[in-house]
Amino acid sequence: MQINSPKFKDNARIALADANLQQALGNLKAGFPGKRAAAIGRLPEFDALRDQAQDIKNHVIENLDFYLETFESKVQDNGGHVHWASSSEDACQTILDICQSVGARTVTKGKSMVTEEIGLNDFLEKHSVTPVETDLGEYILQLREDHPSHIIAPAIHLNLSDVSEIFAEKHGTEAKHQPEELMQEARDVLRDHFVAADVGITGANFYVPETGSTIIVTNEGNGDLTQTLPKVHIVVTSIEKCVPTLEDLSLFMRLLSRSATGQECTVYNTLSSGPRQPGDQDGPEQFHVVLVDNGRSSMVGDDLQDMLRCIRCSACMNHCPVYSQIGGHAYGWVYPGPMGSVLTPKMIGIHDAGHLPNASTFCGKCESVCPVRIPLPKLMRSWRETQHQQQASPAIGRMAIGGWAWLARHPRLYKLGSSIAIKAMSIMAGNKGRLKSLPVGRGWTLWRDLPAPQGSSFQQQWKQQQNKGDKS
Amino acid sequence: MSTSSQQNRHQILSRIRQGLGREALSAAKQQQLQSAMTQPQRNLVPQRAQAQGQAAIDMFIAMATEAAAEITHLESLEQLPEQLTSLIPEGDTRPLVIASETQLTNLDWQSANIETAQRVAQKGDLISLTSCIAGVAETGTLVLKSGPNSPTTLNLLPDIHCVLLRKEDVIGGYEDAWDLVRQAKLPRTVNFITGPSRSADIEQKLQMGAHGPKRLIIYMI
Repeated sequence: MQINSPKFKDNARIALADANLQQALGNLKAGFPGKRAAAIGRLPEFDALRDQAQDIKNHVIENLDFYLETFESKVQDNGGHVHWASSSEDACQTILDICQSVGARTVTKGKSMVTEEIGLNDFLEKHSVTPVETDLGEYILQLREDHPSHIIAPAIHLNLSDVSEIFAEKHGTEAKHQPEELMQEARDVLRDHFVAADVGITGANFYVPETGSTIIVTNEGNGDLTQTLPKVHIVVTSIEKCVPTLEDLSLFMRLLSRSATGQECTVYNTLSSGPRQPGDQDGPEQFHVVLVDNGRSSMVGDDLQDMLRCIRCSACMNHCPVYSQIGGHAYGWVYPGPMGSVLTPKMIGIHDAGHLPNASTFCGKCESVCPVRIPLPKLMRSWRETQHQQQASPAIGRMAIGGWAWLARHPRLYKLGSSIAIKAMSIMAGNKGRLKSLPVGRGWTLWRDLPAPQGSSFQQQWKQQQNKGDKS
Repeated sequence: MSTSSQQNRHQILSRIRQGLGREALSAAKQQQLQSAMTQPQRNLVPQRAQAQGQAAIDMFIAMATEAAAEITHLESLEQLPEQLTSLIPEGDTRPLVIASETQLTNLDWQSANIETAQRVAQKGDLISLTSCIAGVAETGTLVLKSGPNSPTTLNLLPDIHCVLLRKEDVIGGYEDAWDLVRQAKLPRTVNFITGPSRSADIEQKLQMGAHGPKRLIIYMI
């Protein structure tokens, strides 16, 4: 996928002025957060489950080499194959090789963000294999030559009329205007693809070393048809998506659907363990798992390690005030929202993705809803530090921070400077106590007034507080 | 495994170990982790998932209904063919596709005037009938295993999926389901199914019947 993250600021500006997008984003705000809150309200143990989930995931990372090797040998015991891919290119080539080995012309696909990450569709098309997305949202996007703007609701940036238009154009049918009619049309069209496909490719929400299984969690049933009907099932997943046992899976099932869509349980939670077994009348004859690294192994032991706990539920973006204003495309690559602002710089480089960790108010909502308690603001802050150290942030910002740091180390000057600034601002603000414009603060005052400082300063209050403490 | 896969494997595992600041785990530590996997311990099981008996059955019915599954109570298995006739539209000659289990195949389909077929599901099938290994109370979820007599496509392709659930097979939580799965050889597929297929991909408006069955009917005896 083309990288548009360097243009984040322009993307955001355009997104804010896009009435169609703003209307569509209204559906997100009205939906997921309320549904999540309601579902969690019905499960009093939810926070305790989050604590355990965090512990399990930390344990997995501490022993990731062991779990990967165990998973591999269990898959092989089940009659499946495991392929290791360090990079996107490795992963795509491996998948293509499998497709070509069975002479595949068309492949059906279940929804998978890892395949977006590695750019699989473009790669297959270049090599004369036609991928067909079967998740309704992904299918709509494929027809539009568009990309997901959300990791679980890929077409959330579109409205009914967008879907209506593209279906009429691509299917050559009369335009339909009801969601159920459009869904029925997609169902009918995709049925033929499901049956005709030579290979089915899905992602995996989790893999389980105990049994050598992969799990997909879906609502539509397209992923299940994708992996059941063709001769070959390829699972593309990333190395960190491990839950050691089926008992652990139970816990994560309880967390994932509630955190994601606010459902008590997603419609289809499907455990796949190898190819069809002796006597089975259906199911794939070959089962392949492609384990994608793409930089993840180098996150072990570094500042970003906590991010390897992520289960891709999307709660962070569903609750993010920035995401909900600008949508996912503005972030300019595969993973949007707070989790994307942490992951994207790792995958495409901080020089290209530098704006993303800065696109946060640090309100902390993302961390507060994360089912595995990833300290997302802390990780974004760590990127800001890296950026500062590598001088990848704008020079003016670095100068300002440098100036402030110098001042903060000279308390007398700081005190003098701040008292002058406070006085000046009070005078400028006049009777109303509000500043309508500020020479260096246009970004703020263009949209709202800045209240002038009132009462005593923090340092004065601190002094008073300390004095009181001494007396008591 | 190809050479490059071998090389990648080595590279990935080395980088992980480097990040963790250690070599491969000692044999003793590996043994410890292995046995933790072969005798898996339950995590916190929510109170709701510990329901038993009638409380579990009531919860299963409430939760499955909430997920838009339909529940029909039967006095006996023999009533099933008669019940299914109401699902077949007048003049529709498509057969009912049933799992090859004697409890289902032995029923008197002829008297109910229903043509049956025992095979995998195909595009265009209207109704399938299967059993299941359990119904999980905590979320109204059915648990189905693939096998020679229970092809997975029956759970997915037809427009209407009918499932026979015995009340004694209703269990509290997911953990109880895995206990049942572990009693036999692990099948290719275990399906946890909660209600009919759905999608909200168009404007976040919930629609039933995306790619899987449009109706999920549970016959409880």
